[in-house]
Amino acid sequence: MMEGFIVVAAFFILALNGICLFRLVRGPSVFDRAVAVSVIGNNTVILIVLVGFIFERINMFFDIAVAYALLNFIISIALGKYFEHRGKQAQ
Amino acid sequence: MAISCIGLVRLPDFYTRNHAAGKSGTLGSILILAGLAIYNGFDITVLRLFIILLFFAVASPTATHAVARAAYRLGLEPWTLKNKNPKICSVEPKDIDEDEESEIQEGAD
Repeated sequence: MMEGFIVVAAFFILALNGICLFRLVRGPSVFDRAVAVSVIGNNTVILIVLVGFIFERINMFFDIAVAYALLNFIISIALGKYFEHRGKQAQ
Repeated sequence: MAISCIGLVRLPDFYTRNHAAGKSGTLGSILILAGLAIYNGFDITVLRLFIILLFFAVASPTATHAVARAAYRLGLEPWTLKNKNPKICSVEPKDIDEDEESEIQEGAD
């Protein structure tokens, strides 16, 4: 029963990723897209952990999840720094 | 996390979207990871789950803050009741007129 619940939760998070994709495509400014990328990355880390629980190979999937979380964090920080620098150059 | 994604689509401007994504997304992730740790039982796996959990608790607000600060320094206008269609700040310096440039400098100060 718990396995089925985890599968349902994984599909729910996948659907949420689809919703976030709407903002990623339509977003009027660059920062909206940056936030959408950040949220999709967060959801994907949780999705990877859930898939690890489904397939019962938790240790391998945890390493992938940790790497993905680090990458997502670095992407957001780098985008923020980059746009800040560009703003100073424009002035 | 559902609230985070719905807010990301429905809210009117960047700052409110960032608000929705930053807090409820972090809380949802932490709750899901804590639930999985309880489901798993006490193991070495729980320790690694808590590593991811702590990383989320630190990194997700930091990333949100970095993006929001960059947007504020670039002069992205917030959505208010008087100004329901705030201009979209373009990152390219060529597209900015003189009036908009002065506004951006005020926002940066």
